[in-house]
Amino acid sequence: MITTDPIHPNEVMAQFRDSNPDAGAILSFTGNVRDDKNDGKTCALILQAYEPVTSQGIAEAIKTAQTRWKVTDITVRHRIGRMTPGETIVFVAAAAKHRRDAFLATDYLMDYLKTEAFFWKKEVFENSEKWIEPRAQDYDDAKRWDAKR
Amino acid sequence: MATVEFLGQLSDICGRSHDVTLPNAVPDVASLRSWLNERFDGNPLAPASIRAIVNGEVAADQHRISNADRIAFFPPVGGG
Repeated sequence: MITTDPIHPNEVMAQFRDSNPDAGAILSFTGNVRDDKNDGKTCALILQAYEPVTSQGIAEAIKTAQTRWKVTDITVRHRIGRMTPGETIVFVAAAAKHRRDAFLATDYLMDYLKTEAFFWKKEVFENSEKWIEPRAQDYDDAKRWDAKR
Repeated sequence: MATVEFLGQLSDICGRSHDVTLPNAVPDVASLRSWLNERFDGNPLAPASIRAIVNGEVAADQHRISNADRIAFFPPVGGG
């Protein structure tokens, strides 16, 4: 679930598809390191976790998604450590009989990962570095699920 | 001895992990917070946004602690 090794989305997706041959809908989200920051070119992103708390929290969020929507399988891969632009930070996939459940479960899990999962993120530039917190938009996105609890 | 850890930007300010013997005057998260603030410049644990985890569970300031505990202080979380 949490790895210091590079994540290869196509390979993870191929495995996920192979393990869900009966799913009518399979959806995935891939989040990569950007390098379009205004305050300088991002050289690297460093992600910190706190195990086992981080993995336990993600496992709980997956259970919540499985309770709320009719999904048959979910996979989450999240990278920690140092990564460079273009590399994958996070990969989430959901399998379901019908598409809506897969869309909602994936969306919910990404909002969880962005605002509630026990990760801390630092951007490294050529001559400086900065710890970053979720944006207001990330918190607003995550609130959408509270209203429906 | 208790293990006290610092996460996110706190790990740059306070160091990632310390084994410390808690004095009797530090029986809970709130008093540990004050005790540690005296040891680092700038009261890094003072903001209300800095929360604590005790033995794997997010803990309120009144949570009791002992020398057998693993305690972590952390700023707002977020991955992805």
